[in-house]
Amino acid sequence: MTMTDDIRHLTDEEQVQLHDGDDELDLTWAAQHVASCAACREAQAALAWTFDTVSRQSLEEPPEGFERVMWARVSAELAAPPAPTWRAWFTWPRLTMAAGAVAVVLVAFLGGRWYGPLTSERQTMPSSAAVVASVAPEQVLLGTAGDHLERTQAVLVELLNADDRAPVAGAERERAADLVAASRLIRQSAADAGETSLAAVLEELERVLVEIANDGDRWSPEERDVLRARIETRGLLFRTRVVNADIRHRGARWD
Amino acid sequence: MQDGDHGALERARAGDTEAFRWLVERHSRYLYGVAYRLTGSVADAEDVVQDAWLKAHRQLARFEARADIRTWLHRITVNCAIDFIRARRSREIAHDPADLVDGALAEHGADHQTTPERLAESGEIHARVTAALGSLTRLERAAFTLRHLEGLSIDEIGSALGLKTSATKHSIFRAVRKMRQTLEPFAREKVTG
Repeated sequence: MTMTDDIRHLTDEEQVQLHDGDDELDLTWAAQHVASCAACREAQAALAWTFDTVSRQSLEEPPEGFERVMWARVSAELAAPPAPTWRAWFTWPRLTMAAGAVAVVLVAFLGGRWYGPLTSERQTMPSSAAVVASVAPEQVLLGTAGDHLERTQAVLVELLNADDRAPVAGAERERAADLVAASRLIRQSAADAGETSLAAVLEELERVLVEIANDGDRWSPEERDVLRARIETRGLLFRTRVVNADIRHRGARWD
Repeated sequence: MQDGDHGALERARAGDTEAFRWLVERHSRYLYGVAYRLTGSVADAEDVVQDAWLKAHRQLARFEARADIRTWLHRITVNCAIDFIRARRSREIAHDPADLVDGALAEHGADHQTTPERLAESGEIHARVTAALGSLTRLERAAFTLRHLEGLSIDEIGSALGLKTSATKHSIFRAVRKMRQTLEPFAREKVTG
């Protein structure tokens, strides 16, 4: 409550409540007061002007070429086929099974080569369980992701260094499209495995690759600059290198 | 040749990809403004607009022919922004709502920071509005925008953002106070003439 010369004026909060017609406030009293009080009437008008101005002035314009970039993103999502049966194998539990199966085959093969036929005097072969346990499913994911990040980095570096006037060549666009397909699989596995940093950077990289694959041959120099600016202002290459370095470091534990 | 929003929408509904593309390219700039106003982030706004278009595509069959397409898209975008803000908020450490101002959501969400160059480039009032919105926390910005620019009720906003009524009101009021303080010189001049 604001008191001046024994007159109760509206507080800032009550001004907002009156403007909004909030019936927690005694709106009849508030309206009557504003009608008779120049100061509160002026404050109410200023508040109304503020809201109106913010409403008119707060719609920001996106960068040039935004419409085409957005269509590239939307069309890529719309064109993505339903997950085929084989894709279901690239889920975390199945990667675990696959890694285990590979390990069993390796044991069988290497066991025959290194240890020869079993004799009563010879040492026993390592148990399959021990070998399977030693091939961590995480190792499979991190190794695959690391290779993928390095290939994606190469594409981005080429984009950043390319001639403004030259469209992205068909082969490069195909490479980007292949990387998109791989990224989706790896990203899903990373998400399932709780590798949130990896999944997040893959998602951002994917968007850039989609634009390269869909529209790289039609960009104007301005549109190419928009994409470059996005890569640079978001520090995308740096973040990719950081995540990849972390992956390689963690993968080295199994070497 | 496109024959307006409704014609394009009908063809998009029938599976015409180019018609849907026409709609995307026609309305994306506007939807970006709506999304940016709520999220305060270029990247987030882009994600929200993408989600909105995908949602619109799934809901093409439900659009009523007599309705205004932009209004429909606007509502979808607002809802996607709310989902986005709420999902982000759920990933942050849970705080008592009263503490949120100082917690994870206290960081300012806006990409736009006023620089002398920006003030010189754009209209001063526009820059002040941008600066004022940029001074809000993510929560304040979302609550203020939903209340005073999108017209949602306190209860709707609280439900959307996962806040108690009191926390919703406090967020909105803090935002209004910051906006008023930033724009006060202009408001006073306009009102007193």
